[in-house]
Amino acid sequence: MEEKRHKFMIPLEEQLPADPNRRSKIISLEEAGRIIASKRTVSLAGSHSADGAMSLIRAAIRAGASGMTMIPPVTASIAADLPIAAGMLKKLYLSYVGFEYLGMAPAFRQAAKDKTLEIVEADEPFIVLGTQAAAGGRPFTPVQYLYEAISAKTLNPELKKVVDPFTGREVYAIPPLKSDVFIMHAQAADPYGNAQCWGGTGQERDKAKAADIVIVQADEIVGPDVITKDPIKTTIPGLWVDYVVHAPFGAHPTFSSGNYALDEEHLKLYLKMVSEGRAQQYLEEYVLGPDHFEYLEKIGGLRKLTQLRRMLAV
Amino acid sequence: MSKIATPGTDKYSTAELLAIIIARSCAGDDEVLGSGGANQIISLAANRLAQLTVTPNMWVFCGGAGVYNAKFDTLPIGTWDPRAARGAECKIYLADVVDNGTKGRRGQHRIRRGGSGFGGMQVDMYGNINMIGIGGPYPDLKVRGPGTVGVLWMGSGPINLYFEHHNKRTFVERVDYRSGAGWLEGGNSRYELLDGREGPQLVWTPICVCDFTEDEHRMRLVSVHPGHTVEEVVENTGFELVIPDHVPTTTPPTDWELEILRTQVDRGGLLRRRRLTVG
Repeated sequence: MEEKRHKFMIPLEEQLPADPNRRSKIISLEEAGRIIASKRTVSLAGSHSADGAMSLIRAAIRAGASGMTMIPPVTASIAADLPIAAGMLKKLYLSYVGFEYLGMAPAFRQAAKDKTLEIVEADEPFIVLGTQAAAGGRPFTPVQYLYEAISAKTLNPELKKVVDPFTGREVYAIPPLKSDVFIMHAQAADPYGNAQCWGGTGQERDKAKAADIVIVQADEIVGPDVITKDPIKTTIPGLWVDYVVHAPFGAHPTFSSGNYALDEEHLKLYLKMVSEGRAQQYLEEYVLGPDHFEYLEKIGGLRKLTQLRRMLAV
Repeated sequence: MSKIATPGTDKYSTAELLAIIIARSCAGDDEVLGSGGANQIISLAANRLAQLTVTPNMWVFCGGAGVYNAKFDTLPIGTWDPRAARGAECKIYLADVVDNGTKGRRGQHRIRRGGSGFGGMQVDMYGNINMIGIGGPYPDLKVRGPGTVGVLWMGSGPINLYFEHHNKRTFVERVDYRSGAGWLEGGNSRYELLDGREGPQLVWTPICVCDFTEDEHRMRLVSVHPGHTVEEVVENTGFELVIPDHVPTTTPPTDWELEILRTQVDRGGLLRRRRLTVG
């Protein structure tokens, strides 16, 4: 039998890699879109109309994403409504989908009415605690009896009862909400995946741990000097990240915390067009037609984007 | 009576030899998670050395300090030493450590664990680890161990084992208590109980390197460090090691390896002073 040659027997200088450089994880936005479209379950972070992974969502729609399940942030506006308008989703874990002060989510409501979307009557704890279970490979997360008092216990078949072995009382079990791909907006990331969220809600880490693949879109790609200056600012360690996409203003039309404001004018345009039954026209003009940089031109270009940045200076 | 393990030369120390061979074992351009226990500065040095040379995509993890990829050139006194956090890329929290440890490898199985891993006050021929204590019946222990910390995670995937002392009190026929799961009772027992998850791979000690046989998963001698012999290993092991016909001598550190280790990883010379024992 041939003797196995263990690596520890071979001096380091004889094992130097062909490429001594650390590998970059940067891929193109369109490539990221194709990866997302090839998966079944996508999870998102962000909050209301802030820090949506919008450029990745648009790229996934362009790549023909359909029939997907979404584990959304616990509160989402266009990050959930646009994929529904585009027919990307088959199933949604619902916590809150709406546009807050701008009104209800038109594509979501239409899909609910037409029964073209399977809606799991979930809520904030269901999504957060289910994500935590998946993040740690745990079978479920128990919650106390609060669900006993509300309708979810009969409306959400994924909510089960278990007996608390410590008290003998019946409690509720939330299943692990694992995703195939987690897509996230960051203000800055280095090429190795270390990503900074300057806002965020803390869902990012658990959602990343609960996903098979993590894709980060970043307003800015930064060097090691920025990342190592304050490691506490790194929201997601690069070890957990598979791909990085450089997408300046990639959260538009939502806020990018600390970088630029939401584009209220554009959100209103979206709401108007979808409410008037012109979702397909919106998709063609803003999602399917233009690439990311053409999109930024179309929504007003540098002049508009500069205004959105300046709006944070108040 | 235990004595200091030396490689029979003053060119390098046993701790330096270990750091260098552990670094070699990490080689590859894949993403390797290099971790090690709190007191395993040899492993920490090995991970940093590997990152600087043969494993450019390694993530060096300092558990106690809670960071990834610190850029030290002076070895800290433990992975918990806050100085180990200097130049780090990311702070990592215990909740993340527990999640990743319990879940094991991520979905796509792409992260290889490198470096050392776990040790303990006892290890048996199947690589099971004991950190609880020696003697009994519990709780009447002859020696109370420090506790199990995160050794549970030995059950979640392959890892290497690491000991700074090689003697019959540590390498025992059967562990008195099992705080870390090795290959359990050998054979397929681990695969059956733990959903097919792989068990311990290599065992680093001050006098030799071992692995585990393919079918029985019994500990097998792979190489003996310079200055030591197969007989010495057998004498100081409390169970029957599998001994192949030919046992090579561990390839000693080269000048190049020692130069990088001493100028870019361990400028303070901690590894030159580290005492490892045999017997």
